[in-house]
Amino acid sequence: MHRFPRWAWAPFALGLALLAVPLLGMMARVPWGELPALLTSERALDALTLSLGTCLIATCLVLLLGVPLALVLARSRGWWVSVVRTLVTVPMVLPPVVAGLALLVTFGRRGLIGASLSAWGVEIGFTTIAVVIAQTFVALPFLVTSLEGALKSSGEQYERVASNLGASPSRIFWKVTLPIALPAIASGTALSFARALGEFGATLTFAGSLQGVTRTLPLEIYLLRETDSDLALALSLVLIVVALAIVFVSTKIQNWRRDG
Amino acid sequence: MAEQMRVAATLEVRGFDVDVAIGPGQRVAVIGPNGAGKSTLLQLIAGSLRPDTGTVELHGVTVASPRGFVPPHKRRVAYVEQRPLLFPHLTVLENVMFGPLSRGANRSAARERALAELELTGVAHLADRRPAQLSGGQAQRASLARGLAFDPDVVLLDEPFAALDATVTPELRRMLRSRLAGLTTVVVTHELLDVVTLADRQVALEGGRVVADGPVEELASAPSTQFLADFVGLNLLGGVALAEDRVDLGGQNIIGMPNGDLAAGRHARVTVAPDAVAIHREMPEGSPRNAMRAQVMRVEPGGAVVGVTVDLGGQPLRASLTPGAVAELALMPGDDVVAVIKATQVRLHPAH
Repeated sequence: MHRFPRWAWAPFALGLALLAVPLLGMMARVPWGELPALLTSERALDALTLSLGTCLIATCLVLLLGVPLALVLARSRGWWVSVVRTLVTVPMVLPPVVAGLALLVTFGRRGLIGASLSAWGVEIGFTTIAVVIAQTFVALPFLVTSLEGALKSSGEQYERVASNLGASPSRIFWKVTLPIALPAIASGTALSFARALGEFGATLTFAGSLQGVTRTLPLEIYLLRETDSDLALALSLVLIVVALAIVFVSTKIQNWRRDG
Repeated sequence: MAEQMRVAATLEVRGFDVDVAIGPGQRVAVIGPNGAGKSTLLQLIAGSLRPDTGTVELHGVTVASPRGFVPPHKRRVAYVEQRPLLFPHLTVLENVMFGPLSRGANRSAARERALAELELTGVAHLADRRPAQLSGGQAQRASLARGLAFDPDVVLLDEPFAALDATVTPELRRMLRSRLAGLTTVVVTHELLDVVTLADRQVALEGGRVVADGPVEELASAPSTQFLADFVGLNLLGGVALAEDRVDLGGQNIIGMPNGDLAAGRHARVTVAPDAVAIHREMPEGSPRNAMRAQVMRVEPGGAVVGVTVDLGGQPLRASLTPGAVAELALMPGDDVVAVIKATQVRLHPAH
């Protein structure tokens, strides 16, 4: 009857409690009555609109760069493929503050590329552009790794068939590869969006924390946690709701993929 | 010969070295054991493989050579595989329209062509279904329609019925036979029935080389290799010709009907159908038939007939017996028996 030892229930309960109790505790502290007023305050609206805007742009960049990147990786052979795959995976496990520092010394005013850009009058460090770059940097690997796996497991045989039927490589991409990979693209995009929304360390290091310019939701929550904990809790609630929605959507997509 | 198709190419990694020319409208069956290079031949024609040396010509145009390569989508080759591989995100109709649309037809022309092709393959009523809603046979019909809807110059079929239920294949084979009439066809198969119904020429590959090539009837009646003999269900024995109707099979002689000029002292091949071989316990008396001593190797019950394999001077010889006969003889591996074959049932072929 049992497929696992009875004692596994104990760590099971402990682990579940560790994950769930803090969230429930937070729910208990959220000032539900003042929620509308808190969320429409100037600081809250600034952070909300900035986060939403930058995350949408970053997610678009992730799609534009990530889909072809995953496709080339999935369909290529050679020693360089595993090198590129490692490069793409590293940002996923890299501490975000290190990522931020790397971006700063590259795109900052005295950075490798930033110095020449600065000479042209283009400043990236500590601007909204820096926020978008930081978010794209940490979110891109999530789409690429999940999509590459999906493209490898299906796809190639259909692409061969399409080629024999007379479709050019571009036509195959738009009419066969993309539609078949759509569920994987959708769930990869959802994950990337969530990662970009939660971005903290790289943003703070590379973009700073200027209200309305670079202070996204996570940064604002961190700043407010002691001075105005009610607002911090209200903004946290927004992130929790978005996280739940994203998990719900990507599970739906995965189930639909399995059934269809 | 301007319109012929020719593959004269090698592929080192697969040990492939073949030169085959196929005339327009010819229907060729390619047979051979696994790894013989059958699929490699198809892939070279379709363009999913590039030869190391040599050329591939389609319709008199060189499509692959060391100097140039025409990619698959610029050839007009239909490639229908064992699995239907219908695009899962498109309906059956959209699948069949894919070829014409990719080759520049407008939507209404492609739709008309696709519907006509689905009518011919007998699945027009399923045009709006998704591939996941089709049975294996229906999906393969749709896949054939998709392959044929862009009017290919050559049709390649790679074991088209291998993944299907045996109950649906006869009808599918009949449909394909009439649909492919007049089209240059290359079919890879493990089924003698496919060869007989879908081809008029048979090419046998073994180890990446052509080992036999000729009209289907010729290869079926005089198989030159063990694989071909097994394929057509005949016994193939090797020996030395003693006279024009007599072959020495290593100490015992067999008399038969010569098929070609047998020169005494030269190698010869002997073919016998398993149901022409009778097994006796004792040497029959006063009979003009071939009677040869042998040992039982295997007894394999197989329903209505029992396959008995005997060792005839070091060569295996299969006999198809009734279960009653096997029970009466009480055959056990190792038993000494006598294999009896009528001379009129034995074909003798000169080996080259």
